[in-house]
Formats: sequence, C-alpha cells, structure tokens
Amino acid sequence: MAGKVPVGLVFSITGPYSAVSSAMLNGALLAIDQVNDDPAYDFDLEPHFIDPAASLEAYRSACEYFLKQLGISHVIGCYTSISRKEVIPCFEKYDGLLWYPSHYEGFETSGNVIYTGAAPNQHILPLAGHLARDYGTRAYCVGSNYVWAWENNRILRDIMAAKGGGVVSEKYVPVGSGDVEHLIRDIVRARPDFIFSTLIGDSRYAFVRAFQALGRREPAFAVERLPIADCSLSEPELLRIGPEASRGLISSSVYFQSIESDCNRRFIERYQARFGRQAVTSADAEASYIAVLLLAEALRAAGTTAIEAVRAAALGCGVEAPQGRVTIDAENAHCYLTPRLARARDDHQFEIFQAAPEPVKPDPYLVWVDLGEAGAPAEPERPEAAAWAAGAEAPGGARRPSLKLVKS
Amino acid sequence: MTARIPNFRGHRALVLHPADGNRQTLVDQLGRFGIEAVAAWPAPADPPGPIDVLFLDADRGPGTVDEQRWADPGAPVIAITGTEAPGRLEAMLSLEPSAMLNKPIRREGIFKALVFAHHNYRQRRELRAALAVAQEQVKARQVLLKAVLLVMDRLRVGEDEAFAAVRRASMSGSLLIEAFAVELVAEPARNLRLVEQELRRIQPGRAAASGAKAP
Repeated sequence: MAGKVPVGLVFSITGPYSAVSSAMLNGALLAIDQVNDDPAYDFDLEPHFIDPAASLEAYRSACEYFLKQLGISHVIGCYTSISRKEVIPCFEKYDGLLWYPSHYEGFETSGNVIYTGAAPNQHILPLAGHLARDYGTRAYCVGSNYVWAWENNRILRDIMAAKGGGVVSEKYVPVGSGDVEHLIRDIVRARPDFIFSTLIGDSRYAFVRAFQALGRREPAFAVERLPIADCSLSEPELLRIGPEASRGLISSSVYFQSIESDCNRRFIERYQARFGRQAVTSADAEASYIAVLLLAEALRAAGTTAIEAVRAAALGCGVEAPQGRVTIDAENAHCYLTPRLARARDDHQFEIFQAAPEPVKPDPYLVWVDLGEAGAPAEPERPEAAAWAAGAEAPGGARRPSLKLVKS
Repeated sequence: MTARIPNFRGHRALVLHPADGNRQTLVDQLGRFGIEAVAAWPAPADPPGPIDVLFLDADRGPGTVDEQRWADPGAPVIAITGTEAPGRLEAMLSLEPSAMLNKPIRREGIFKALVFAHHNYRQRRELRAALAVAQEQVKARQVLLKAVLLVMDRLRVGEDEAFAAVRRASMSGSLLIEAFAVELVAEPARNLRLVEQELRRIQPGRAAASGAKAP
C-alpha cells in the first residue's frame, strides 16, 4: 500500500477554544511525523489542515471540501460536540471516517466516527464519586451553553440525587463570554459543597480567576474547601489561567503530563522538541496523537485505504499510548482508556491523586454502571434470560462487559 | 413531571423483521444499550416470553404479521416503517405504536425511538388506568344519586340530610359510600333502617320511623 494517504485535520486554532485545539493539532502533527519516520509503515500520511475558527458553518464546509473535493476518507478533528454533530452527516453522505479526539458527553455511536477521547463513564463518574465522598452532594453547575455542559449536568444531577443531594443551581453562559461576576455572586448566595464546571475556553479562564480571587478574600470560598471540578481542564489551559488561579483546580482526565511512564517521557520529549521547550502536553494533544497512531495501525492492518476495510480493521486496534494501553472497543468504536483525577499545581502541571488500575471499557450510554438508584429502572438480571436468548434466531449479544471502576 | 431517561440494561426486545441489513443494524445497536434482542421472521404465533419492547416491521402485507394478535403485547410497540401507503399506515395504527423507526434503519434514531416509546407507553397506561377509575366513579355516582333520591322520598328529608345519613351509614358498615349505595338500591328495606338510625343521630328530635315501616 506504499504511497501517500491524505488525512484531513480540522481544528479551531483561532477562536474561543484555541488553546485546546492548538494542542490537538500539535498532537496529530507529531503522530503523523512519527508514522512517516517509522519504517514499519509502508505509507506516508499527508496532512491537510483547515482552521474553522469555531464557526459551525466552516466546520461543515471544511469536511465537505476534504471528503468531496479532495476525496479524503479520514479526518481527525473537532473539539466541541456541537461541531461534531454538525459534521457527522457529511461523513455519512460521503462515507468517510471522523477520528474524534476529545472527551465528550456520550450517548452516540455513529458508524462514521472513531472516538478516541473519554466517554462519560471514564470522566464524570470517577469525578462525581470523589466529590460526593470528600466534599458533599450539593453541586453548583456552571457551564458553557451547549450540549457538553447540558449532558454532563444531567448525569451529575442523577448521581447526586441518588446520593441524597442534588444540583442547587445550574447556570450557563454563551461560549466565549467573559461575563462571570453574576456567577460568583450567586455561588456566594448558594453556598454549595462544590462547583462542577463545564465552562470551556475564555469563559473558564475568566471564571476560575474570579472565583480564586474571591477565595483569597474569603477563606470559606477557597478551592481547598469549595473546589472547582472539571472534566476537561488541561495543561495548556493552566498556562492561560495563570499559576495563582490554577492552584487547586480538580480535573478528571485520562491523561496528564505528569504521568510517569517511558512512553509518556518519549511523548513529552518529542512534543517539546517540535513545539518548543516551554510547550506542555495535554489530554487533548494525546487524544489526537492516539487517533493518528490508531489510524496508521488500522491502515496497516487493512492493507488498503478502502473505507470499509479500514473501519473493520480499526475495531479492536490498540496502541501503547502515553496514558497506557489504548484499544478501540469493537462494540462501540470508543476506546479503553485509563481515568485519573488530579489537582492543578502552580507550575501548569497536575498532581494525580487517583487512577484506575487498568484501562476502563468505554460505556457511552452509561448502560453498565448504576448512577446510584437515580432514575434508572435498571432491572435485575432475569434468571430466564439465558433460555430466552438460547431459543433466539439472532441474539442481540447484550453481554455484561467486565467494568473496572476507579477506586480511591 | 420530570421525565427521566431509563437505563435499558437487561431489557428484552423482540424484533419482528426479515433478516437484512436494517435488522442487523437494529439488533447490534440494541446490544449497545444493554438490551437483549431476539429477532424473528416470519412472526411467530406468540412472543417467546415476556418482552419489554416489540419492534415490528409495519410495511409487510396482510398475512405476515397478524395485527390483531400482536396489538397490545403488554409492552411498547415500535413500528418500523418505510412506506407511507395509507393501507399500511392504517394497519400500523391498529397496533397503537408508541414510537416509529424509519427505514433505512440507522444507528441514530434508535435510542430516541426507545425513549419515546417507553415514555408514551407508560403515559398511555397511566391515562387508561386513571380513565377506568374515573369511569367507575361516574357509574357509582349514578347509583349514589338513586340511593339519595330513595332516602329523600321514603324518609321525607332534604338532599343534604339524605346524603349525610347515607354517608354515615356506609361508614358505620365500613363501606365506600358508592358500595353502600349499590346495596341500598338493591335491598332498600333493611338498609333504609340503617339510614334512618343515622338520621336520628343527625336530627335528635326526629320522630320514629315514618317511611321505613315494614311493608
């Protein structure tokens, strides 16, 4: 299959969430170089990059241009869920594969997407358990007004309700808005046990700076006592937030630069060699790095660029990643990943205080976990279930996968 | 009422649809929701066991699925439709589907159909139960009215006294007022004596049995 395989890259390296998208682009470019330098692959990946600058219309036209005009089959890109939902119809129409390298809120399994970021059982579940155990069950939710925030808040509400608490307030600001003072006043009034933030980009930076300033004036609102917890806070954003306002923020992620492993050390070395000694790695950079490595593996296994063959080969593919072993789950095209919880220090790095002992199976529909008893009329396994399936013409195959949850 | 999204883990689905790509997409996706799906075609006479949801190909002509037989299988029905032919739509409506799934079946839309079907079916069942109770009450009110009129006529009292006495008599016999009214209308002689006793308690000066004399 020697030759060039064109790959589309769609990341908003300008606009309100540019810090994260730039890290994602870097991760993808780094992996492309690595694949192209590796004699084990008899093909070269040829990157084509478009910056949609956070415009949904630009995301769609970028993907259409790649898939239709350039005949590219594989695109790595998107950060926000709203952009992913926007472009999926293009991938279905032209039958391409979107390699989506970001944690997201779950409840999706498109046949045209490979999901290399964390599913909700890999990010919000371990975080919610920690918060309820160590701080309480009265949550204050602040978020950027789109589906990532809405869905995470719904999941958190169910979890806290099951534990006898709940969401005392749920506030949203438009993506890109820096108007956060009203949130600070409202938190002072509401006195929650913790703040669950699904703010992204500039809104997040403004909010954590304002809240940490409050905590310095009023010790009752210091993050050690009333933490801000988040499922998408990463190292490049700590640089934007600044060291003082970063300290103590809690993040749930499958990757932190502070992970101790040979693979991660090599990843950091290469990353800094290419993007500068000051550059920091992040979950977003790692997820798109992994996406490219998995794509290369799938291409090699398929021995062709034909989309059906590559898709089939991708399911079950695995690579050694900076976070540990990462494998695409053949059942839902999401990845086995290793959840971790960490606290930000003031040197734009995180201190990991909890980690899953091994990669956790993705559960995008939160089928195999109980959010406490909340809402879910999960029925016990029925004794006659085996007989039911045994007499079946075509059993649906609802096996219970072995799920390992993070334990403290 | 806040609707909650159910966890479908352990649910059982029966899929009555010929073996093809549509059916495979459906069965595979149900598996991702933790649902055990069993597919069959042609439709068997009866479900192979209790089911939580029935998916049914509504496009097939008469003789493939007995709509009479499969209507109300004790679980929500999700109609799988491609055609908009009026005759097929009529047949589909007779199944009272709680949701629809369009052909060609895609992964997207199956979860939505399940959530809708679950919600609509439960709501319909609750409405029907509430309606049945209301209908019983309406029926019972007619008998109660008859009983009150009987007491007003025989014991020569006003409506309020008659109703109060009937209610007290039902309470002393630990019966619902509607149930006592049925007995009163069926067997006036014995029960009017009970009502009159209560009337005397309400109206202490009331003269002894006037209209309730033994015939």
